[in-house]
Amino acid sequence: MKWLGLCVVLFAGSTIQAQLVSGGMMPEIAISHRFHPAWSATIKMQSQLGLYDNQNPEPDRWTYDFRRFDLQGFIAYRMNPFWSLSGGYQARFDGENPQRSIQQLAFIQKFTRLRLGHRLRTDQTYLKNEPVAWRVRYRLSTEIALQGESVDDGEFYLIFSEELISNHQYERPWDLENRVTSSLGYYVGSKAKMEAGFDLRTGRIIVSGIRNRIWMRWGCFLNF
Amino acid sequence: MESKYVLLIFFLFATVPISAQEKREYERAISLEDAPEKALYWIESSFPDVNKIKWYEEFNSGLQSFEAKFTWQGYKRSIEFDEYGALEDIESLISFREIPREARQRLIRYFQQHYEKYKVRRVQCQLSGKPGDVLIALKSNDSAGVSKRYEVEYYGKTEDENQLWEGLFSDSGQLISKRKVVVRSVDNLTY
Repeated sequence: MKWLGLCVVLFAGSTIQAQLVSGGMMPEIAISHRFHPAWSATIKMQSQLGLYDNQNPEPDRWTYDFRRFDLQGFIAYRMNPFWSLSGGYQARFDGENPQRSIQQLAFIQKFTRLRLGHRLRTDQTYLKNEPVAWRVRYRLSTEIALQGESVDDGEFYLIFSEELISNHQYERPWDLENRVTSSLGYYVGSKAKMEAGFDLRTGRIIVSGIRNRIWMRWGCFLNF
Repeated sequence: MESKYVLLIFFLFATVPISAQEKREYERAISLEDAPEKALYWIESSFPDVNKIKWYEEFNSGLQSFEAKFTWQGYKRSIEFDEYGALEDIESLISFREIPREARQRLIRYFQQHYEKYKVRRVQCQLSGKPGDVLIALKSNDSAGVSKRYEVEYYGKTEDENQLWEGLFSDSGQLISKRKVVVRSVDNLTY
């Protein structure tokens, strides 16, 4: 049994070595404002700051490199306390500067000690001289209270998520991406919460050459 | 100068009823040692067969209380004590169908009359009174001599509102009070 475990670890290690691995820091901030009982607006900013890339030759593998900055804006309609519909737009600044339109249906389930968030999203990415790239994505998030039956002011919580993304683009092979995150959160109060953790993105699952991106993320969610 | 005071008094009176209608509780898990001794003793002597008890400290509208939570006879129980350890009430998580037929029908009538759409999410049967009487009522399933109420968390939709409520209903299904349940923001789960 011990040998089997060792083999699995060695195999997994060698597989990761053969893959493309990069990563770094991913700070993000989301600012939301409810301007009507049923309507709210959210602005989200996220950066990717590369620190490691195994595609670079050895001395340059650990190097700082600004990858991108995303600016997103959403308008959400709350159908009831648990269901919401949103529409949004994203401007990315990465040199190629693609634009993206986003549609989203979200559903929250409340249980003792935890909340589950289901998010079904479709988006369309527009790049110059390229057909529109369509994606369908589903994310399941779990927020777990650590100091009671619910998360209250000044308490910590854990948050995990799993997201599967299906990529479709004309004359390009269909592909899948998987994203897993795990973070520790701190609920400052009804106006702010902070999270820090890891975000592992595995792309090119169907086409050859799996790509892993590991981000250390920290986020701040503000409500006004 | 006078108008300033009038305004101040107006805001004080205007804001008190609004905040009183909202359920804003703060609760945190505590260790056994932090629970009031009187409450600990009452729990140990009343439920000697229960060994997995979780203790919580709760603040509701500035008032401190303590809660012991455990499962007993297949139901989740929540026993609330005041800051000195005196019993306040015992709540048992039940299904909506377990409310006696007549009271349940009155509740349904209330929901149908006041909301276009509603959904009951959680029901707790609440017993309060003298500690000995409450314990007898709980163990014998006979609420004579104690006060029995239903705390119902429900979602109700009207033309203007789409809200989660916590209603307190009498034993016969009459609404006593209700307050809005403030749902924590879900931005980290949706964005």
